[in-house]
Amino acid sequence: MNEKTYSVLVCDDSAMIRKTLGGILGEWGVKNIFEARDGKEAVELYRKHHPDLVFMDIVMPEKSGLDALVEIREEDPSARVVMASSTGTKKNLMTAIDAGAFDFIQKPFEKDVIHTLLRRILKGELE
Amino acid sequence: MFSRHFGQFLLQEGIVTPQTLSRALARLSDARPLVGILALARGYMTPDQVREVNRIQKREDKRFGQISIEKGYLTAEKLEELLSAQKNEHVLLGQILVEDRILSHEGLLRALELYREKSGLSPEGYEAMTGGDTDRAVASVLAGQPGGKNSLVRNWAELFVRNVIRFIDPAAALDPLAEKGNGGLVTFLQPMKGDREITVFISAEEPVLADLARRFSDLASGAFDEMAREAVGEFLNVSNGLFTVNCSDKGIELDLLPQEEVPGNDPRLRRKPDGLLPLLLPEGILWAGILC
Repeated sequence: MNEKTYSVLVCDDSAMIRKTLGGILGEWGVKNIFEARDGKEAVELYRKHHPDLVFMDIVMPEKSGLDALVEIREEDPSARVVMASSTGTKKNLMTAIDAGAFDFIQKPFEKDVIHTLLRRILKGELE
Repeated sequence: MFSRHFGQFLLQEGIVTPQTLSRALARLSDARPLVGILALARGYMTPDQVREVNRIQKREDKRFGQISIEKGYLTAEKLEELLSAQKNEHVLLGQILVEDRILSHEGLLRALELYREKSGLSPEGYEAMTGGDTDRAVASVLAGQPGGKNSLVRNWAELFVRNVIRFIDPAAALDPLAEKGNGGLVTFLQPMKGDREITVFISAEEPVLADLARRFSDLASGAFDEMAREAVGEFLNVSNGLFTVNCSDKGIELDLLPQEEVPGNDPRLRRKPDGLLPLLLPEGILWAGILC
């Protein structure tokens, strides 16, 4: 069990992805999970809750995940944002890293990969 | 892959009944294990190694054998041996039908001849289709289509078929005999922009998409509801995501735009697609097309 109560923001336009990721996070022990349907909502929710970690899709209506990443990092340079997308092109990877993304994972999600990421980022465990 | 399609053909031609075909296909699934299962059975790989390769396959557009060789779990010789053991599954279906006295040897030959004639496939296309050579079978289906010689269309089509096999149904098969009717199909499309402007779409009747959704996501129940629509859209998104990665590796940068469900008369789909694939899934035909 994790002693600290972690909070994570999941941003994806697909309710299926939000539910899938939410389930994986809940299984690991994340208690507070916030959901955003696009980049605009993600920025608003980040501003309100300052979660420990953000999972951010790239391709979304309203505001893309990359634009939201830039805004969140401008407001909080210590924000930890993991880009989670189906399109892991070199261009997207480089853009995300340049904008301060903490990591990049490709869909479809693997539970083991997410759990390893949570241990590494939230608990500071080395792989 | 070919067995289900060939079986469907036998059914449509009234050569077998649904019951006999169902029994034969059930036996066939026992007779033709996946490469991973074959590798396990022969002691070439451990269960953990097979699971690991399966996991990697969900993230990377690579075949089971290729990953296994890269990981040092299989040698090229052993893989070839396993692939040989897998081949010619249509012969196995034929053998089962002959063994069950549903068909005589002569009847089987006549059925294969009839299939070859009706499918309109070239001798090479027929060989590819029956031999389980996906890429060559795709090329054969694309031949004569507007983008049949376009490498981007070919790459998309080959990858899409592999994605259907990987994420949806290992027994999915191209069905060159399928005919696209008017109406009654639900369509999802996803545009891509960048070095090229491309639109990819999938269309099928609701039961086909509901089953696809259930196979892709544990959250989909099998009904064609909101969650199923999400899952279908996400499958398209994941498949196109891998396509953009492949394109990026070849120096073509594409950005995905959000996928959407659209009416059948959407103006973006009025033009004849550069590539159109009919894939036979358990509940019917899934049409997948690309316009570029």
